[in-house]
Amino acid sequence: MREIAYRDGICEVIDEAMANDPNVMIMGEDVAFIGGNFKCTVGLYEKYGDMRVKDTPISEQGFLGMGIGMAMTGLRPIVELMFSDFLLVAGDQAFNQASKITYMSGGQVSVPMVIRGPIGAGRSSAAQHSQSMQAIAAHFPGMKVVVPSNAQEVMGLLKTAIADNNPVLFLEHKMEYSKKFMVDDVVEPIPFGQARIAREGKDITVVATSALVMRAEEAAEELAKKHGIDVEVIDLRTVVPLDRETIINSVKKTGRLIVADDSYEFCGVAGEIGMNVLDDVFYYLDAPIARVATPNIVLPFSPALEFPIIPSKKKIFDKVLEVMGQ
Amino acid sequence: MAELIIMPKLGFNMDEGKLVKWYKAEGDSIKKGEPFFSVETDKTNMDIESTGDGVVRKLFLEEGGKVPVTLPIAIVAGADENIDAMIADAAAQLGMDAPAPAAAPAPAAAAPAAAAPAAAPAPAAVPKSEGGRLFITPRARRVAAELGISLEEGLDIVGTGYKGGICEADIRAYAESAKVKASPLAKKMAEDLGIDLSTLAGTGPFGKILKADVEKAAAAANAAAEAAKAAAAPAAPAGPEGAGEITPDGKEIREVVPYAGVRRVIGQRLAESKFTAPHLYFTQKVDMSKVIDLRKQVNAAQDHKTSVTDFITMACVKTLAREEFADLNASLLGDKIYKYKSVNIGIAVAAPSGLIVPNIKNAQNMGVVELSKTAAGLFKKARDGKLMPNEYSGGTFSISNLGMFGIESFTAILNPPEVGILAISSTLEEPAVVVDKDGNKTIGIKPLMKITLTVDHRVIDGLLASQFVTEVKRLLENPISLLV
Repeated sequence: MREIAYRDGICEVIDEAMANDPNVMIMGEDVAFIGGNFKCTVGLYEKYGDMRVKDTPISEQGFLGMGIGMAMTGLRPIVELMFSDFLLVAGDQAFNQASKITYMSGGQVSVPMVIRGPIGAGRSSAAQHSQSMQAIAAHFPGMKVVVPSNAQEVMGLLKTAIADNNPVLFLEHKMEYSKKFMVDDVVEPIPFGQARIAREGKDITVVATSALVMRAEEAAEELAKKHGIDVEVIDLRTVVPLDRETIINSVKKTGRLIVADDSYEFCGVAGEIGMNVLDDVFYYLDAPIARVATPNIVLPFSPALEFPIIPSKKKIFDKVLEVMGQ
Repeated sequence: MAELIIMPKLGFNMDEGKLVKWYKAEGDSIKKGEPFFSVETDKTNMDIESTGDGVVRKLFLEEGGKVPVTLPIAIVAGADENIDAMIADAAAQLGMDAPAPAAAPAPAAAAPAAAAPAAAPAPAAVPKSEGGRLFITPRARRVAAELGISLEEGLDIVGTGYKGGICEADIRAYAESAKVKASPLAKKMAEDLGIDLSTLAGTGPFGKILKADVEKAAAAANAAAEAAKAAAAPAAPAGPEGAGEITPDGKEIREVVPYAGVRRVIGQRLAESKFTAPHLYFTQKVDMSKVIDLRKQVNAAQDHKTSVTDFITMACVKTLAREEFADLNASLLGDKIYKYKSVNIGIAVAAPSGLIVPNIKNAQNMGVVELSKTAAGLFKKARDGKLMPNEYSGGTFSISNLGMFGIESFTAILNPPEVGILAISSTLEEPAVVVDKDGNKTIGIKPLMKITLTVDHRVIDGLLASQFVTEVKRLLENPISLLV
């Protein structure tokens, strides 16, 4: 095992992929000269040069479209969005073009492209830079949506994303970039669609995405100590494809389900997962399915207002007690 | 905010508590810090203070009554607060029928034990329902069906799930209690009274045996015994219970007393110790002449009167504090042996209520006078019945001294979870072989005392035990080392 910062893990995987395959390249705003807004591509420009590490204009629709063209013609581009919110600028390229070209071309072309971008609130980035795009992205068919938790997961899942021959939206959590984690000396690729049981428990299942996996694990430890509640925490890993089986088996065991996800609660990932498994677990449910998500309001910039609104360890803790009837 | 008061767990081995006295009655207001009630633990009485302000709304236990620890005994709440749900919940935990809200008086237990109860008593609590529909989770409903529990009849289940609905755990607990068909309290009472539950007809829901049923059976059994007694010995003289009676095999009885309370606790703990830990004994004779002299000098040199026991205690403490004897200053708890640096030495005392072993904490840091003063304080408290639980728990080794009673030799039973106890017998003048400075042996008179170490052979082997006894003997025969 070794210790590595979340952002350095991302850089290491991209570096390795570029070293192994000359077709892999990265582009986006400020990825080259300054090594990325969140410092995820530091040193790559110096190592691989201007042709493979490309700073782009502030034009998401343009450079995402460029990435699709590269992918269709044999390259394996990694396109970085400075904030995942900017996916909306390039919505047509992502959801109408990249996601559908393989189908529309009758399978003649594929789009082996990774779109990377940070999600999550908590750093006073205000309403337009604090959103989590997994719900809106998962809504459209054709795009895989990855929501990794810790550095080990980020590295293993990013390897799989780069190796995938179809478009993958890879959503990193901006509050985790500078945190350090223990990872395997050699991180193996992690297959998509296989959720991870991060903590085994028997009383209640918390399915979490991204950084909320860590918050759920912390809440679970406190719940065990203070209330004797044994929480099972599932790291979803990918929203698309969705590992229904792991969730269903867990809920059949525990009888209770909470889904914790940073996207908006209304029409969000948490609501979808609850509804998605409901018909399989209805007769096993010992309490209503509950959600911990971002309420459907425009996020304020003020930390005093922001923190009480967004999903947190405390929100998960409180929701577990509520569902347990305590 | 209503608060449910529970029987506190006041010691590691306390399983149930006897409520000795309520300082407040129902309806009294109470403030935080005021004495609320007094509990008899396994060894002493303790006053418990209120943890909040409010009105004593409900007392579940009468003075003299016993309940297992953590079960509810009272409710403190605002004067007008609705506590029906809390009462129902507490009643369910206690296996009582919930009192019907204000309306009908509770049926007296005076009714004869009729074969068929006229009507099923009110359920302990009505599950949350709306328009007659049960609030029960799909999982609970499925489990109920699997266990063959009908949900059509009113179930006396208090929902503990989401928003008070019935969840799986509630159904399983119900099934468990229905299987034995007796409330937990009734089971406990029957066990205490030696009543076979299978001989009783329950009057609770689905024939469940309730506290009242056990009480009725006990009363009937008593009445039968009384009648038999009246027939056998019509003119039993007043006096101690059982006095003057003749047993079936012809023994005249002086008195019959219950095996209960402190006596029972002592009995249970000693039996547990003796039947669990393989006891092994080691005896040495100690020449006490130098200790007797030294004690006189110490008592002349300062105001506090030390006793010979204090010097023996000191010798044990000095030995136990040494690393090579750490195995003896230890506890066997579960699958671990805890060896202590602290020497908390217990000394058995005959208190009015029975044997008790207060211990001197961290005796390894004390001189003999300080040790003697600490011990004297604990003995006084023990005789006055005022020891706090922490003063008679947490010991690491014990001493039992019967020297003042002329006992020549005895052995002691281990005080679990300790692994060693030293029995001190009387110092008696005896003929002994005396060796003079030229090596000539003659017979002289010496004050000799027998000490017998008991060890738990699961943990301690004979070699270490022998070395310990020999070291204590060496210290007592060269007692100046006790003062340095």
